[in-house]
Amino acid sequence: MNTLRDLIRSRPIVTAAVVTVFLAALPFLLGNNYYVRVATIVGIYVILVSSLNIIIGFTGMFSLGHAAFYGIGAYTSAMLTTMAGWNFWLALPVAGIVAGIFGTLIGLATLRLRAVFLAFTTLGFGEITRIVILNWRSFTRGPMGIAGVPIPTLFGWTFDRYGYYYLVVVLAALTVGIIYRVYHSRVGRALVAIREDETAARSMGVNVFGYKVLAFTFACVFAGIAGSFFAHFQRFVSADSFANLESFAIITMVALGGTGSIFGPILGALILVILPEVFRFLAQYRGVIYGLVLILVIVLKPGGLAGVKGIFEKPKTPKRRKRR
Amino acid sequence: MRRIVLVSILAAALVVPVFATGQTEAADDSIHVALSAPITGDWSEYGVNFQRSVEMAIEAINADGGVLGGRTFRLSVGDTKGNPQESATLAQKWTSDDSIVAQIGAFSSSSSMAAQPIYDAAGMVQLSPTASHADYAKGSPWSFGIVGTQAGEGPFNAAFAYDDLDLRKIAVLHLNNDWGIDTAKYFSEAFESEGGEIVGTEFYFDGESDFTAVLTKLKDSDADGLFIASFYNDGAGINIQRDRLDWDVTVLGPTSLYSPQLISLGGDSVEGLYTATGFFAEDPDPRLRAYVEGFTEKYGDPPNFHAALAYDAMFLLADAIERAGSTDREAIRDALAETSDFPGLAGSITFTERGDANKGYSKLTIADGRFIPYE
Amino acid sequence: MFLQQLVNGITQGSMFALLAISFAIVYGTLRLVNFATGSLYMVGAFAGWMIVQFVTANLFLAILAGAVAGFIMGFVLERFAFRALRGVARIASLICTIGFAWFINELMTVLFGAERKAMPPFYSDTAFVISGVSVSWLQIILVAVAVVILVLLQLLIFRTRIGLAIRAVSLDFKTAGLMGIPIDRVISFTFALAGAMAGISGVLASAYYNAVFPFMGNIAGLKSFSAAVFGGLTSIPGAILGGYLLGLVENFGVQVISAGYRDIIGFVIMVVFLLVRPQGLLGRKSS
Repeated sequence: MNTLRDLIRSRPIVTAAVVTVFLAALPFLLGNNYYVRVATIVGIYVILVSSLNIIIGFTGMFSLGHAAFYGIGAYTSAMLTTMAGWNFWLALPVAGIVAGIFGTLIGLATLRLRAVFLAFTTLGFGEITRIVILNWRSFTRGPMGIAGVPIPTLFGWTFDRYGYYYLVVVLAALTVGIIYRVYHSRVGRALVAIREDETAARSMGVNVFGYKVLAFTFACVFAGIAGSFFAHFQRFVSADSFANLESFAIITMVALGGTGSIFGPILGALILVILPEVFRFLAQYRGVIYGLVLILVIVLKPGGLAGVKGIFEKPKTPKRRKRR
Repeated sequence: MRRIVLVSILAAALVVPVFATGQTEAADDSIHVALSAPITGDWSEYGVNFQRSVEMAIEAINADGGVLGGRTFRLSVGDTKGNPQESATLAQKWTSDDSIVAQIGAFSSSSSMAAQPIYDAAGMVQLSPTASHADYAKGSPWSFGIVGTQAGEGPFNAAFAYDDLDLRKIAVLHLNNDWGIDTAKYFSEAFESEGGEIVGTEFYFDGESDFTAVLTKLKDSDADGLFIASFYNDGAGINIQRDRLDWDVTVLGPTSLYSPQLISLGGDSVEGLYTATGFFAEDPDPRLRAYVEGFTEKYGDPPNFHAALAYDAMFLLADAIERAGSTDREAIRDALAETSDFPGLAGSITFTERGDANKGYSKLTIADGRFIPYE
Repeated sequence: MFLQQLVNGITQGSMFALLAISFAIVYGTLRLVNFATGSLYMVGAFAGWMIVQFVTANLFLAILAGAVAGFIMGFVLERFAFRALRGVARIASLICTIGFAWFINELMTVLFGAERKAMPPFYSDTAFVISGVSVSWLQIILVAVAVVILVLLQLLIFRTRIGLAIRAVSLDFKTAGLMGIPIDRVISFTFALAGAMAGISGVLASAYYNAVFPFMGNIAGLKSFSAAVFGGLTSIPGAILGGYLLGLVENFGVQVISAGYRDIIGFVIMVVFLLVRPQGLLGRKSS
């Protein structure tokens, strides 16, 4: 394990080349549309989970409503393309921006509060988003959902199964790459400082509130982009896809893969998208086993499979009420 | 140590299915069909009933010599969890498997419509026993629905209410999903064009147990009838709570209410309720008796309307394959589209050009704790 | 009309209050939001249903069964999962509670099927009708049971040794340990107590709505969580108040606004409220 890690560190270009070739060849290796679809879904979740990791893993905030921003992105893109006739390539960034705006508003309103209230507000926001989508029939078509979301085209070429796969790989790689750059920048260090000790960070001159809002917004933009892709991939959006259970699924992937690392979310998305597919033959026992595996992993390795050791595994503070 | 345990668990989890699925591949000339249904999750009772019914249908067809001169059927079942995305993933799985000739499912309209582009692109029949959304069947030449749309059922129920039950002012309470909205809409439109008046419309979301608040609101509307666009489980809850509010009103609802469970859940409160159905479990028809008795014996309860539709879907598919004379995906579609007066247990099936079924319904009421035909 | 919704709201509020307490007790001692609370509520309801179905149709025995089932489940969860997680990051335990919710719901689905089981109507006769407002015996009994339980809980926490220990642990975990309080046992008991509250609430709800099914706890759990937050999340009186307020707000919300927004009326009010008063209605001020 460690030797592999060292190898990756010492030969970044070779590693990148190997990964690129592997990802490019994957659809041909799989050779089956179903597998390619599963791989594409993994890609969507890599974006979602990596972005949530900015909130939970890097900055140490709780968000229980990530699916809401995902859904906002999906609906924005679906509505712009089907109702206003926009082009997918224009709708994609706008979906990210709209989700980001909502993220900023939520962040501005709640990030001064205690962590648990952010959790509550985001949970509530997830529910509010879903209910508003369902109720506002004249605008979102309510429970009918939006069907016939157009297939993206590029220079006259209409995306097929492989096209979606390559697009999501590019989007996911960009997401992970940008997050990696940010993590290793001044901003990233500030976020980690906030996670480790908010008071100390503040006394060192870090604008805690500002950075928190920034991180939250940043994560929501990516969720919105994932949503936009999802809308055009699925070609049908309905509020069912963005319920709280979806938020929980994303959090579970963060936790399983490992909080605070770059690779963890990718691993989490990979395992939790593929595992249920593998378990399909178990039919009604699948949910039970899925839940059990989740509990076992958390109990046996609370930091997640690839979590940064020593940060989340040790108690952050003794279990005692802090009196500041 | 922990890491080793963990890795072993995950490895086992990934490897076991490989062995488990390896043996299901049959090397005979059986015809492979797929079923997508919500086997787990909120809608799992319907999904499980789908599976039971389709399996029973296959058993019956196979025992009867199969189709195309002795070829039998085998089934692959996939769980949609009631989630549109899962349903689309399953569609990709089925269409990628060359041995599968057609798919039955999904349960809900939204799950069926999410999967629709995939069946459409791959060219495989998507035969949903229950999707009734007005946009579903017309969305693709490969999509068929046999439950009949609410556009067909609404006027039937409205005439029942206006002409037979002499109701003039009706309050509507509906489940707020694609199905419930359509059901309420088509009923209300038809009832108003009969000359009646809709004095109030309220709705509730799936999973809600408390109907007292909305009923209290509707009670004030001075209605002489209450139309509930619900499934039987909510229907029972609504009536119990209506009873508790002392609201004495004539209640009627669509075919989704028809289930023995409505009575066992609702007790006295559903006495005198009116509903319609395309399938009546006490019908003396011998084929229907065989199905109902076989189902009851195996699973404890008699089947409801939705279970019967799944049973019909499988027989219809077998019939289409026989008529097509081949298991070619396109030949099956063409044969299916020509279906006319297919004698289903839950009503005869004739497809419209869009791929919806025109269905006939019969009127029921509840008396002394059982469903009886309304005279 | 107004009065009828008031009666509806108070009845519903009683169930929310019990469930909100379950959140508050666990959060108060461990600073953990237990998302499996809704599942304990459901398990309690199933226990009550089994008594009614297979033993005797007695509502009070069913309530007792629900309490016992919730108590045992709460204890088991704490003993075999959350104790191991006590030192680690909160997100891990939080996710573990989500995992349990999932596991328990699915397990019950496999064991009993997802369809609704009928709870026979208890005491459904109308007790009295005043100017069009009908109140059933069941409603009176449910509210009375909830009030009795709430009073007993207050006595337990403020009049007994174990109650004192719970309060000590919730105030300062570490110091309580140093003072010789058996923390593990106290926390086990707290979890079990929270489970019992959830279980009782589940039986009451199943009697009121005449239905028991594996997913019944999901929405009820979420709503009660917001009621608990409203009350400050650590305060039991706050949770009670939050529960009743939520019941009233929801029923009047349906009347005045629309049933479509009932599930979020509470959320919206509470989010706005929190912005103004972050520690909740009766919460202790901290940080």
